[in-house]
Amino acid sequence: MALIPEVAKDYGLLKNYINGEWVNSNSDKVENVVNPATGATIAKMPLSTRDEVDHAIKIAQEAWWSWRETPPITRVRMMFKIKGILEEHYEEIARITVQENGKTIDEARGETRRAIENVEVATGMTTLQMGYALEDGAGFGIDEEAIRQPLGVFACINPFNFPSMIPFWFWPYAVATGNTYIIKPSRQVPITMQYIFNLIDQAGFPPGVINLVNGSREVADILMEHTGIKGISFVGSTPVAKHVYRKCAENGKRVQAQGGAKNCHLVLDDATIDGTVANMISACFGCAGQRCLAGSNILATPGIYDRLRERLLDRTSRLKVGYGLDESVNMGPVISPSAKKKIIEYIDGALREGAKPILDGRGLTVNGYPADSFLGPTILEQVTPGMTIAREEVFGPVIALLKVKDLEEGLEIINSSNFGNAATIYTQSGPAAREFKYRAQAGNIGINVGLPAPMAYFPFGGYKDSFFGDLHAQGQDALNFFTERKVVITRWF
Amino acid sequence: MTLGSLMSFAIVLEKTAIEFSESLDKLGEAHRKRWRFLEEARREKLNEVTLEPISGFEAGKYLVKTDSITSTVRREFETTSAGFYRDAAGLVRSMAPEIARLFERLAKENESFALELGTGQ
Repeated sequence: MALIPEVAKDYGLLKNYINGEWVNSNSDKVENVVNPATGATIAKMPLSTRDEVDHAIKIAQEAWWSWRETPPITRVRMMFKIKGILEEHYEEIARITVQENGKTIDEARGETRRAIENVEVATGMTTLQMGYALEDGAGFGIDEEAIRQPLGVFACINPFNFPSMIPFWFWPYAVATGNTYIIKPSRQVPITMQYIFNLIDQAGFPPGVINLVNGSREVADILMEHTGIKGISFVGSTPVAKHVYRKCAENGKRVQAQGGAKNCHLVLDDATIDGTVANMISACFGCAGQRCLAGSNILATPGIYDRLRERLLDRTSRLKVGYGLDESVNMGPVISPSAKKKIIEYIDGALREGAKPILDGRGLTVNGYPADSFLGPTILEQVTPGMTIAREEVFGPVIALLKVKDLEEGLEIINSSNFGNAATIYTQSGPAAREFKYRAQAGNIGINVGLPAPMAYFPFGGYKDSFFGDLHAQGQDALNFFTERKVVITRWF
Repeated sequence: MTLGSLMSFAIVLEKTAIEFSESLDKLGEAHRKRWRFLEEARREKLNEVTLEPISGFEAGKYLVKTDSITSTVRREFETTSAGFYRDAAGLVRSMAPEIARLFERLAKENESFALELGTGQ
């Protein structure tokens, strides 16, 4: 099948976007941005200097008060504008995402939709940001009200797996509520946001309201330490999320830090096999397993185990792996050769611990493409809860089949994990589903839904080591994270 | 074959129909609308990306030679497209019910276009 055309073969040296202008970084350090499927360098990303980050923060601070004074309806009209522009460039955004991240074009289109949904929710800010009031609330003739006010400059530090969607979990809410913003894209996938900032530039936000700074860990550290930043949003692995949480707290900042996961799918005897398997394959192998909501451990009860195993093996082995711009491809590469190496180490370790591969993706090659980052789907069986593969986050296209006696044992395994991002049950039993919903210690629960990804108007949950902070991304939580409540008691003599 | 590539094939069919419907404004306009619906559906109605490969689809079966644009060819095109949409609806019903419904609607429209072309209306 012919490839869908790339937007560009080479995106050149990327720039920062500060104060409404594209600026070249003064840094002499530059990193290659690589297409994981082809291995080609498709851009160069500067590692911005401390001065550049400080400058971006200063600009965002200076822009803040007049943006804060901009009436909410005017801010919301900007959101409508950027939404329209994003829709016009929807396909280009998706294709660039494929080029730098490796996911398939359908996955990238889905990601773009989810990104834009956050702007759509932010267009409701005139209502969402309303406070509440009570006449004579503090006594006769003394009124009391609570209002929501923006705070200043916020920033986000982003992962590689969703180049557009994850920054959009944060900036539309921050900006629509009257804050200014700095985005630091992942060093591995900075091109999508570079393209999107061209669109933000077209939308005509006042200079300094939204800024882009490219770089690596040093930039992230500066954002976390700088007194000019009121809060940080982060998505990444649990060790780094913990570090971000601690560092931000030490520096007096608000923080929401989404970490890693080890998500279980519990399949009971009465699950509908066809729907279950289709759902499960998408949830586990979508984006080559590189999602914090991806299914990882499949816990199946005795009455369904064999049928599930057989159907899963049959359907998974038909997945076509390749370059995501080929529409016939079901799964793309993982993000890099080093990611592939780490995933293979996990598989090797599982086999040493006694697991057996019923589908082994380690040796996969894709015709016409270098093998560097391609990995086929892998299914392991004879896995027990104590094994490393069952406990640690692999972040790749690998699933482990575990036998469990019943719902009770399934819940025990799920709740024994240090992680608590997502958990799914497949069943036709209302009582079992309710029990699962009630007791599973995970922030995103699926009932016959393999990937329980909250829509933009709901918070993106997470318990235990999957989330650090009090307020999650998206929805009402986002509104609360980016504003402070002020109570006002008024009397007129 | 994936759901995405099935939708792309549908879009190609509509674009082909637009190309040789210029002289029949009403039909051309109808196909333009359908193309827009398909694009919107691809962007907005797929809340879950389903990986499961689709088997049993042969694109060649639904392509009509359009070297000469006669009303017979045109009618055949509409009838064949109706067949594509009906078959595709069956293939995607469990993974994307909203898309299956759209395909069924489009199939019915194709059938009525074929009827109109047959009666010269």
